[in-house]
Amino acid sequence: MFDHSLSGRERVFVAAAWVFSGLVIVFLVLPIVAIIPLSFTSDSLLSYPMPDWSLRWYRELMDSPAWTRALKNSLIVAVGSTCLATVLGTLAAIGLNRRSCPWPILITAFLTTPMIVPVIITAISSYFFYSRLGLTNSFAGMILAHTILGAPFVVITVTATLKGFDQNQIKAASSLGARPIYAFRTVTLPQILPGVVSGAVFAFVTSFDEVIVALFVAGSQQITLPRQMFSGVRDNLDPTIAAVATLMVLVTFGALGIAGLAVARRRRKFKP
Amino acid sequence: MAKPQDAFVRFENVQKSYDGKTLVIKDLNLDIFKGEFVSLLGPSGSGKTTALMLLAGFEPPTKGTIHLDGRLLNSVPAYHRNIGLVFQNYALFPHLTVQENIAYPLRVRGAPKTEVIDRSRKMLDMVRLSGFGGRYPNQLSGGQQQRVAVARSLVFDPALVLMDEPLGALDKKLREEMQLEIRHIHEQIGITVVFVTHDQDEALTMSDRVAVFDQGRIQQVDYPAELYERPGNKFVASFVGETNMLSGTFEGQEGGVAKVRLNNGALMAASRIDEVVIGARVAVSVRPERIRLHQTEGVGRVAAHHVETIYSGANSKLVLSIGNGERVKTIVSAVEMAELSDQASAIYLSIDPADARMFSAQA
Amino acid sequence: MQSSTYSTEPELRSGNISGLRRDFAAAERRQKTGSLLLLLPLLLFTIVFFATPITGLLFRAVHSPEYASFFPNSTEHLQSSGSFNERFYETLFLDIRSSDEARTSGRVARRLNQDQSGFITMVKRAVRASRSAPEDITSYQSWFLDLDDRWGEPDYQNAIRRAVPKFTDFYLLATLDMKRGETGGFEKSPENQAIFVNVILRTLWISFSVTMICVLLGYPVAWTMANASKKWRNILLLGVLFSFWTSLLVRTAAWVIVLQKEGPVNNALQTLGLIDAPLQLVFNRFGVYVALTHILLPFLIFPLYSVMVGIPKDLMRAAKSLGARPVRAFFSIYVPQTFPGLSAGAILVFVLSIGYYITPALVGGPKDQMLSYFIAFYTNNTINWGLAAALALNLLVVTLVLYSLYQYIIRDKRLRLGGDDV
Repeated sequence: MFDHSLSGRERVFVAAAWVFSGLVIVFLVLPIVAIIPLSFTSDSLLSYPMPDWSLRWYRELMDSPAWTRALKNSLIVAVGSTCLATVLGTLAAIGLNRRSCPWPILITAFLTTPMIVPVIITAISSYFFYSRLGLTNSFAGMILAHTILGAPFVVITVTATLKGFDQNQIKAASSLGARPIYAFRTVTLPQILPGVVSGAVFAFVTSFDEVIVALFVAGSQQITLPRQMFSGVRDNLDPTIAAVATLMVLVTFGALGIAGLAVARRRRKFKP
Repeated sequence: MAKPQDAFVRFENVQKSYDGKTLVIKDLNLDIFKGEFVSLLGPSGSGKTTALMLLAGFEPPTKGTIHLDGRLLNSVPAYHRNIGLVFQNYALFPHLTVQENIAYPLRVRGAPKTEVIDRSRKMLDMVRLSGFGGRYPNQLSGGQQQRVAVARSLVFDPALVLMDEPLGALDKKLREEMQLEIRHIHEQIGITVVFVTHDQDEALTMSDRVAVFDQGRIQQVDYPAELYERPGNKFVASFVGETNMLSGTFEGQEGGVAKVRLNNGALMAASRIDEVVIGARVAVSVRPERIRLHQTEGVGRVAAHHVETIYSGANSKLVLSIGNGERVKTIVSAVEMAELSDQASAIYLSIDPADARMFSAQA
Repeated sequence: MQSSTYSTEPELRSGNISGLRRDFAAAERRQKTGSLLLLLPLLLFTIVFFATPITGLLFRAVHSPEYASFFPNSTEHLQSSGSFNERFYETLFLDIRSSDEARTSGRVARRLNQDQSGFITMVKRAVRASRSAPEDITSYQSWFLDLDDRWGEPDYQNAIRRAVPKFTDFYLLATLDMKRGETGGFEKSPENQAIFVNVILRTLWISFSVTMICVLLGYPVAWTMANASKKWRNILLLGVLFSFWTSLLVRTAAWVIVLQKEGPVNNALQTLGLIDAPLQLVFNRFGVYVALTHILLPFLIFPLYSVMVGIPKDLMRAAKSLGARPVRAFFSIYVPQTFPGLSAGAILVFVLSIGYYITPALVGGPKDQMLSYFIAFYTNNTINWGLAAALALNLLVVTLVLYSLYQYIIRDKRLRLGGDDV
């Protein structure tokens, strides 16, 4: 842990940095971890010490049509927008990284602006725009708006993997007789898959966690989990919120874990 | 001039520009015959790799035509050309095993499974990698990877195979081994090879013919010995092999031999290659090993004095000054060296006019 | 053998450059088409579903067609003579009548009311009165003034004057607490409307504070991570990533729960006997700082860490061997090298925080709401879309300017998002 060339006083500084960093990490992790046990309380108060353990609030969730429908809606929107964003983003990233692509930097900057423009702006402009097209209060509208938010992540992650991809391989495949689509399927895709998968995870998590667009574009039939939770936190804070939060943490890290495993397995195959 | 069907590969008036302004290839005319091993040799930026890419089909020629076996290639996509290609960085597929890499072109063509296995195994044997089929490319050394790349480019019986500086990434010893190996494979299956390199030794030792490129043009196409002994212009003379380039003035022709007044005042006889007028500045190219050394004065001998000796085992290189700042390099065997060092004071050198080639100084 | 000097270049000399360009352009076009075909779906998608809506929104910030389209007669009068004379009131009367039939008077009233409150009742009353108005009104002016004195007051007349043009800087000026006076010059908005400069400054101040807190907390963490052994580095990274990947809403909810009066923090402080009564830790500025810092800290740590990992360790040793005292070596050698990562991270945190909506809305009090909240408020609650759009324009401009700066700083590849560590 210590560099031997350090003087005594420097060691004190280094130790202080370690303690400080530890505390910051605790600050980052503890509040999230702290609410998980609270979801198992038998009490209706969200505070420690908990009188007893119970699955009461999870049962409440399962029995509440509002929450189950919100979960279903969230999954529909997240899966729909993830698929769309992944396909569009991957194609665009490949196009952007071809030598013949005109103005790649400018176009990348444009395609990634939805990531940086405050979501409230995207949300209300979508609201105005969609209401003219009759897309407000519809799943289609939600999926389109979330695709806009998710696609930039796919463009970025796929571009990152393409930078490490030797373009000569495409020429090699072509000289060996592979048509462009065959070459893409057998040579490019397997190698950029980690980027595609992590982009898809980003897009999924972005949609699954999105409130503001949902507030403006979704109707009562499309209320998503985060939006339901938003109302819950604002109006009626009870342990169901802790239970939903726990479930959301599980879904996020479940998605991450599955994607991570898939990528790691592929990677191990050719990068020992 | 041969008819298109005589040449296996024919470049005709080919031009290539990447930006619409400058020509990377200015006017390429080249015939390659079936079964030949032809090297495209030149400094970087001379257009040799571009010529290869045009032939492989990755870049369309801006002007002109390319024929392969009598068929016009211009609009044939790379994947229909049936031309094998080997890259400097191998371009193996890292996510596929060695065997899968070699089988790739067969799979593309939908070959039956037994044939795929059979032929890729034969290929592995040929490049002496039997037993490595299950490994991934990054588990192999550079030389082994290049052998896989060669095997992959040959397994589908291509009409010809192109190699783009395939040995550039290897160290010297491995490179020499691989030169022999590629040469062997070429002899074994008799395939036409177009080989791009910037290494003149490699080009001379491996090829049947060499095309020397500079500034987007072919400067000379010839057999290696011809190229070395009878360079057609000043660039080829200085790029292929080591040479002494002596400058002087052309003073006229006498009995089929050109008279050149060197800068130090001496008059020397040379073979006239370029047409020049009397009084024009010229350059005379003489290979170091063609310079004869003497210890006594004589007719046609130029006085010189010793500047430096560079010892390199079997031979030594001697740098001599012939006055007026002009220096000449010669190669001397160990035996000659011993004789010379006895009485090092006076050295005279002579050059056979047949070994001295006079070019115009401008080109 | 040809010699190869440029003067003998046939193409260039014969002036056939255009031919070469044409051939070249054709070949190049085919290649470009391929790339564009791949790019096109997302490009079109983004143009249609992102750029167009945003342009539409920004258009609303300067577009105010209600008065001119629904009150055409008085518009024409004001545009030609510009005075509030008898003729004005006559045309206004005509407009009130026809808008009553077309049921458009409400929209004009709302537009006028955005500028000067009171117009909704005034217009409503005038509409109702116009239905039973006598055929022969001698003075339209007195008819209006009898209904409501305010029709004659300069404040109200100026509001009408400002509502007439189809394109207006009214909303944009309002976001800067300004309006145009009688002569068209700028003047300050009345106090009850002058709230936006305050909101903008508050938004910038909160973002700035959060950025500073993130720098103070994040710098040592990034440093420790960059200098730790692989095992410890991964443990620290895991902590940051865990927080980073956790749903934003979950994190915000967690803070509401943890910081509330009955929450674990107050619990702990009371149990330890540090406080007697629970502290108000949430629904105020403190809560906003804590929650925003928690959410944005990873965005500072990642770029900083990737730069620090790239700084050779020998450098500090070299500085010390040259006689620099440790603290001095740290600040003069090490810190300057981390500036690219530090500034990229800080700008990123700042840009993200000025646009936050959910977190301040849930953990802040009424006085801690930022620009985004007001954009949502004017879109949803009081339907004043022009003002919402003008506020959005302000936010967008600040964001894009800072984002360009960020892009400029991250030209260095190591800092790009989507590197290996995220």
